[in-house]
Amino acid sequence: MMSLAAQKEKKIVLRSSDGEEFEVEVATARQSKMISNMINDGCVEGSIPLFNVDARTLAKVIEYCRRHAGATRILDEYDNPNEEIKSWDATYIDVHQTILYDILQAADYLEIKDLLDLACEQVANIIRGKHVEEIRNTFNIKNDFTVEEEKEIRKQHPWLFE
Amino acid sequence: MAGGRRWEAMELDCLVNIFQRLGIEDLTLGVPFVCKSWYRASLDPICWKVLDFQALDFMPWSNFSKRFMRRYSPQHFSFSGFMKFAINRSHGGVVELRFPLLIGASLKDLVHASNLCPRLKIAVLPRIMLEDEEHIPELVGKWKDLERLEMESKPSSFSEIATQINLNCKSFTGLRMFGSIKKEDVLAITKSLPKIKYLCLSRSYLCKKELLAIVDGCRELEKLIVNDCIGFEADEEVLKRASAITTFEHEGSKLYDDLGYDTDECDIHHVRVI
Repeated sequence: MMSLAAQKEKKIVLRSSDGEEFEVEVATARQSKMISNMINDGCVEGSIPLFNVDARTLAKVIEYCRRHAGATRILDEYDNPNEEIKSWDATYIDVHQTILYDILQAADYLEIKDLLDLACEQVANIIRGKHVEEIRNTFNIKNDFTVEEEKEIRKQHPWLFE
Repeated sequence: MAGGRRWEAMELDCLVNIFQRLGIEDLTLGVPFVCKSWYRASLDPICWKVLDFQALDFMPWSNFSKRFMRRYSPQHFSFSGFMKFAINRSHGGVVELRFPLLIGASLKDLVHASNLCPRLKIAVLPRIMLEDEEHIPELVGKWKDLERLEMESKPSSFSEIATQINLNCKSFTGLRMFGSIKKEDVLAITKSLPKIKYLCLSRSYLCKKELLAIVDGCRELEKLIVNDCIGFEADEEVLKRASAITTFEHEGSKLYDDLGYDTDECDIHHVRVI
């Protein structure tokens, strides 16, 4: 394993689904488990094509990886994320649902666990306390239940009818 | 318009990752009715690992009860039925279970939870009928993975509970309860739970002698919280003997109760604020 300083000097090129290329430090790229595995397996020649991530999303994801790779101490002495990173994360993830969706999918595909958790937590925060109609409106989801199907769900709770 | 982003078509794993962060209210009244794929994801046992009933108001006039009645139209809505429904959803995978504070959960509810949540790590028990308290030790002893036990009062069977924990719960590290902490209780703690790391006895009646016995008897304590207790003052001796404990909180604890209230009696409204 290279030292962190050596990793920082070496660069890797990531290519988005719409053909844009991003040069990133190895330490940044390694935030993605998928890319990290590729580097370990020695299959990084030239640029890495990422078919599922467009340029806008990739730029945003790289911003996250760079911040987290650059943070000297992500965890404090009690293994909690430090306050500085937490507040950075909160600002970073405070985005429109469309971008949030893209970040979540990219984090899942690239296997960046912390970013995936951050995005999922943000979605949960948006859902929390909302009524069904509000949730559908917020996320632009169509009700695909038939009246019968919805009745079925309501009935699947025998414990409530004791 | 959200472009081509279809939240309803998101992979099940991602939806479950999101939903597991939600509370029971959202899991019963919100997400399942949004669309079919969200409904399916909401059934995943992972979403039901943490059951916090304290966050819900089960009074018939509460917003939650009314919304629930409207949604599911059950013949009647009870905590017991609701709890069984939630535990059933977890398929035995509940790791954290918090009983509600104000609505009386019965021994029957506890028995059900004890039988059907074998992997419980954190249990926050309700106050049950005095004559039923003798059954608590046996129920707690079934939770082999139990790490933390919190009780809204000190049950009469506390010594036996401690014994059962000692025998059955090898990963046990934390206890919270309050009441009149007597010599025999301290003996139970130091004898049966000597390796405890976290202990909270706030709002208890606790004398200095007993406090010191705990400090001396539980050498692995990392956090001792005895705020607002009656019966001791954190004098030099107390502070010195407790100096090895990383976090020692004793705010508001005093020797006598200057209001003259009966300190054995706990005010339920006060409990709720904590």
